[in-house]
Amino acid sequence: MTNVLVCIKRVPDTLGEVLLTADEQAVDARFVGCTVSAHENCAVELAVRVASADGGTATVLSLRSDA
Amino acid sequence: MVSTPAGARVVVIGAGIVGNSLVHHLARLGWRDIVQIDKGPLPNPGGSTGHASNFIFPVDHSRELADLTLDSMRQYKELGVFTESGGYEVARTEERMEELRRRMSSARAWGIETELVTPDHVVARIPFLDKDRILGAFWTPSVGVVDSLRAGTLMRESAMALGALTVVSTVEVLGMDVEQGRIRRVCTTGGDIEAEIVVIACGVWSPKLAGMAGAAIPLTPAVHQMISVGPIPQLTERPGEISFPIVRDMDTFCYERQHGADMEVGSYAHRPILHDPQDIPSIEQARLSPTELPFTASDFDPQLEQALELMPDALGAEGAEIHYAINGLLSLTPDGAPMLGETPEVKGLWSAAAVWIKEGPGVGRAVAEWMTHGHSEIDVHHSDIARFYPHQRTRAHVRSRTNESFNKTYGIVHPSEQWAHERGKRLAPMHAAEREAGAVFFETAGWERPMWYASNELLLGEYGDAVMPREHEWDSRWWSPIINAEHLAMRERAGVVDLSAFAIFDVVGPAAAQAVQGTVVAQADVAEGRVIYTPVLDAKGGFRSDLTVMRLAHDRYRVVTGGLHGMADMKWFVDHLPAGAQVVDQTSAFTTIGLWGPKARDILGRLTDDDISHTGFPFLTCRGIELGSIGVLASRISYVGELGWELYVPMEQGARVWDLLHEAGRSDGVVPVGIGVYGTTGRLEKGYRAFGFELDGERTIVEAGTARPKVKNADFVGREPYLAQRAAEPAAVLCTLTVDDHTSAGGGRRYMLGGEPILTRDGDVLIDGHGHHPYVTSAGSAPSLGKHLLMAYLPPDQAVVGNALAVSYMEELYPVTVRANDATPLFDPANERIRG
Repeated sequence: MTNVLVCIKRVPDTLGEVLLTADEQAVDARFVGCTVSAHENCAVELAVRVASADGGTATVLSLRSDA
Repeated sequence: MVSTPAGARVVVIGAGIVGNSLVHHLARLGWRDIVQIDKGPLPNPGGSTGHASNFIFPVDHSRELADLTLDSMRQYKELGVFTESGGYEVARTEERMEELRRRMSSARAWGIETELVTPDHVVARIPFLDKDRILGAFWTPSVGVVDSLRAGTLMRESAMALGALTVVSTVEVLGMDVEQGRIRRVCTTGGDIEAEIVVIACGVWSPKLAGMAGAAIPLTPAVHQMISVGPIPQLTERPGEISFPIVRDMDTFCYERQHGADMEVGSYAHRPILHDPQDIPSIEQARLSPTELPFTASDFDPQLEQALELMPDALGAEGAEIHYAINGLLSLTPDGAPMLGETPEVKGLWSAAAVWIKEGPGVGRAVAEWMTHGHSEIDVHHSDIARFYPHQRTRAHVRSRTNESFNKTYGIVHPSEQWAHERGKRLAPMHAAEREAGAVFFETAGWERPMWYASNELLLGEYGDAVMPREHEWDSRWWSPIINAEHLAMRERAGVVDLSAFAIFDVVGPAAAQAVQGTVVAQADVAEGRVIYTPVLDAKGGFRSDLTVMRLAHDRYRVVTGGLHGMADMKWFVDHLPAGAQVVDQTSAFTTIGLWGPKARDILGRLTDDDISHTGFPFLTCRGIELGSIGVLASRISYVGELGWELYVPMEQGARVWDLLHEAGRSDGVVPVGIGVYGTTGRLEKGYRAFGFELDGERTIVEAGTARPKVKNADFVGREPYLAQRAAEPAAVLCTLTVDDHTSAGGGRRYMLGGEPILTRDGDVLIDGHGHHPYVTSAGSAPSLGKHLLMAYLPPDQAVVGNALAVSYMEELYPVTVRANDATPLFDPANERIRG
């Protein structure tokens, strides 16, 4: 039984124009919100496949500040 | 692509439901050379219309909003974009059930078919609703959904078919040019457009656009969260967009609206989330559209749980998931009413903003009529953008008030409920003394006005049951029997009233007399020192205002009017000025103090050596008098039916005069008297009508029963229609009624507060000559008569003194009797007390 932990990060949705914050050090996601990136979706899918192959579990973990 | 024309008679900015309705009605009314622009693509340029849930519940406690909604529903139906679904407002609490009973009153008053029903009635139509969660519901069969984008397209097309309209999309406004106070030009990314008139119909962007011209449209973009959950098996069983009634879960401030296989759940329960117009993303920056911002799930989670409680089997169905979730932007205003009309700052620049889908087409028609004729069929004075004072146009005020009101969208709001925030913004000069006397302040137009004074509590013992105490919490909320005690003390001795909230402006210049004469109904060519009370009419002969005018000099009149509508009144005068006359705002220059009662002359006499005898200072005259070293303008009139004066005092001397009057009146037992007496009890006993209650643009002088024997020969606005009204039978007659028995089925005594329908004794509906149902325009105690009085416009055949009718209050009938079918006061009908 394989239990898989997938660590993902919330990233700005890039369906709209990509805006930078005032200090130009980060992406400003105010207008587009955050989402799971396509690559990390792949990671989740892989984890599910691996875990379900032998009755294990896949757990997704994401961390963020309160702000 | 259509290129931007270089000029137009009128430019309408915005292609949402309001702009589209407006161009349609302008074209229908004969306007040509209309250019409509929007920065977004059509048919959905990305404003609030594009993400609206598009359902309509017609009942509102406001007659104005209900009428605009009913008109809009009629228009949507004509366009073939309305689908009737029926709708329930469900109650989870007994308090809400009582509110639904009150909504029944409004529905009956505005002629909308509704019914209070059991939970079984609801689940018969919505089997997946958990009936154990609710106590009952308010059923409105005429509720429905519309396709507001399709409606907009059809309306634009109708205007284009008339050759009246050019539509240019994806063109953004960069600036607006104002020359000599008039709008001249709209500068856009597609080039400049010269224009005589510009209408801002840009919803949440409107403040930004108005700011380009130096005007204010005081609204704020605010978030309304909405999600769409599906597919839901119970919904897929039936064809079409909607086949189940819409549910408003009133106590959780949420709604559930079927949209095909999905259920849309929207909320007004989350924390208020306000934005700034300049921070709304561009079309390119936005993931969905500029007004569909990223959903903040944590704000919505509690609401989702409550929705699941109500419809567990549907919203919790296997396979159902959230398809779509937004923080949708819509427009909120500090007083909840739309922003309609020409801006007071810039001639030719109009606002048609802060309008919901349910009012859009009605507003489009009303504003188009207003632009065409100077008035609209449906009275929209509560929405007149000219209503605001400067402090009410500030960002801080708008945000504070909308922050407070957002969660009241589905709330239970008492008709007299006061704001908690943005208080203390306009203080009368005698404010400190009033506080010391325990004044309970109500706000009008920013002014803190004493409604009654705790210091007068001692009077309660003096007058006993004559103060007509109210036992029911709702009837006595925002009320005190002290009001009635102050009333009796004023009638017995004398009272001093703070009237600082009056709007005051002077009409000056060589053409001042001509200006006033042409604006008001009463003869204004009077001697200096005369006071006139007069209606002001619009061009169709409806009430625009009622106010008093003092002739101070050959070239100066002073106009005094209510604070609430004073700025709109001032704009009306400004708009009708001939060359050689000007309007000067004096509101902040003078406070007004009323002194009335049988002892008023004795009290004032102790402060002045001037002749204030009946012959020396007759009724309806004014002149300067000296109170020691303070010069005041005294005007012998009364809105409470007693001997006395209004004293116009320079602001900085108001506190001193207030104190002087109390000192001089102490031996006579003078008391400070609040607006509860001035605005309600004193006025109702005297049958005086109030603008916004008995009087509005849909009422006439004849119907109001205040026609004078003669009409002046001089021309004035509304003269011809007024003459025609006088020659015809009125369609309704304003009456004063008494409540004969207050006993409710539960045994307690109930007191109506206004807005209730008048029916026959058997509960049958009455209809006046306009097709309207009678309702209570004002209600209040008449302590000197020991009665509770109601005013209402009745069908002429019912307007007979002694006629026995009924008023419906909280779904119970109470017997009432018509006591006056004209302006004859029930108290002191010969007006002897005013003469003193």
